[in-house]
Amino acid sequence: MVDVFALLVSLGMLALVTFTAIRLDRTREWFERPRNANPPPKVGAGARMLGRGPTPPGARPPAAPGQQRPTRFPGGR
Amino acid sequence: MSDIIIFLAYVGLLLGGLASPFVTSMGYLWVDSFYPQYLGSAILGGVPVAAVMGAGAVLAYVLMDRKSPPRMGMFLILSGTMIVWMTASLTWAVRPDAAFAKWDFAVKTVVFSAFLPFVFRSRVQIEAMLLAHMLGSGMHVIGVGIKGALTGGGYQWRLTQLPGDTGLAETSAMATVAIMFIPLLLYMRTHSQLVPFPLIRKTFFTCYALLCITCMIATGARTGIVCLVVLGGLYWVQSKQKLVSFIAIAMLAVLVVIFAPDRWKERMGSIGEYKTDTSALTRIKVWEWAIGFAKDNPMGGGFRAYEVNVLHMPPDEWNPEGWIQRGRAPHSTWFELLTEMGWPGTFLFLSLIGVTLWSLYRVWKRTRGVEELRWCHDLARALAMALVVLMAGSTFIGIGFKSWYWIMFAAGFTLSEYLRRVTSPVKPLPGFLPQPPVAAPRPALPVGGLAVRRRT
Repeated sequence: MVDVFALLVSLGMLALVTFTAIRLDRTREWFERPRNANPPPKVGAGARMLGRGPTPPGARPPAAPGQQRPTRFPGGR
Repeated sequence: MSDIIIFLAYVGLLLGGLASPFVTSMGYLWVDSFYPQYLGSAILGGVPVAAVMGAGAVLAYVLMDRKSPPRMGMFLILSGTMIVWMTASLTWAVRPDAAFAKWDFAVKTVVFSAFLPFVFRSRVQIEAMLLAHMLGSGMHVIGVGIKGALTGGGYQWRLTQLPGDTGLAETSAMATVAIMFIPLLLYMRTHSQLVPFPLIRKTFFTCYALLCITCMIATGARTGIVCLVVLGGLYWVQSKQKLVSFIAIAMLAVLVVIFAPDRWKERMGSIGEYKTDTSALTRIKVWEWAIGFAKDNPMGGGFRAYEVNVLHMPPDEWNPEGWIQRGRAPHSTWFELLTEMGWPGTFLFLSLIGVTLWSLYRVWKRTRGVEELRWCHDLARALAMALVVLMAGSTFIGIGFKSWYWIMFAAGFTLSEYLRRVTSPVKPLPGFLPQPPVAAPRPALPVGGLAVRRRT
């Protein structure tokens, strides 16, 4: 009885997860890029972007959101 | 009836690859932890379920899904080297036939884990990978957890429907995996996109995490309490309010002790009696043998080299003159590796652990304070905690070539590759090729707040 309950729960959740995964995978672009993977630059010293070191003094600050270079998806689509 | 349901689930995952290719790889992970060939034996008993699903997964990827493969990172290099070393060790194996039998499943585990980062790349896919594995195991962990809550369970009770020591039927492995799942389940409780209904999501993952604790108690394995202490320590180290978290963890421990059955307390109380307890004493003896064997065979003795050992056990109440035990397994991943793969194989395995923990630390550090990537931050932490718990538990059970370690390695690499893809600047195409259009403002998603581009 307990095993049947565990079977139904685990398979039911698996069905829900699989269905939702297929739906999201098909309705979204296959690889979503967050709107702002690079966080907005801080003001002043210590301003930095994700994956880069601190902006050196006097250097050009990181591009503001909306002014980034054109992007394409990895894989050359 | 249950055979038909399991068969339908198997076929659904196999054919689901036609809709989204990664679903067949999910199916392989599910088969690897659920064992439909045993639970649905009336229909799937004679079918090579893993081979069929694995072939389907590779075909689905090759024919439909070859996009943006991962870099040749350290995980892939070390996994490839391990495959070569495992295969080479067959040539000097001290038990060639037994070695080949273990190599057959071990090499499949390592090869498929190296394949996972090619298939699972987006957030949805990474979550699906982990959930397929946890829900496959969930059949056993949830069942044993409920039985533990109702009866208290007991050491060496037969609690699963799996035969012998297959997969999670081994009590120490069950206890280790159950505790290892807790940080991942708590992560899913907060962040999962694949269970879109908040009430169901929070209820299910909370109950599953609680059942992991009762499952650990039901097995009666002392390995489980070691894992639970390690997990509690990890949560305490990360907490900001050390005193409050210490009190909370202590209260949870007291509740476990109050509600656990007496036979479990007696079993846990025997941890300090390792000099008289046969199970613990045999482990110590075989570990001593393993160290000596590794000194004489630094390249290892191939898979199942432990079958040549002869242990002289001290006298006990049934054998007043002592007794001899032959072919005893090391019951420790580290000594298993040392005897089977020698120092080079052990070094490779430890390197994989180190590389995975390092990559998870880098993800955790780089995504700190980035709201859009908070799920990466939390998942990196949960995976690292799960891996450390697995390491603690596997000190007392030989599971180095079971899938749990290798899925953790693959998940760590997959997550770091995800972060690399989303944070790396995109190089413009060569001038003679048409350039992609400038990304227009993208609509926000109803789930997760991430921006997307629709398929064209």
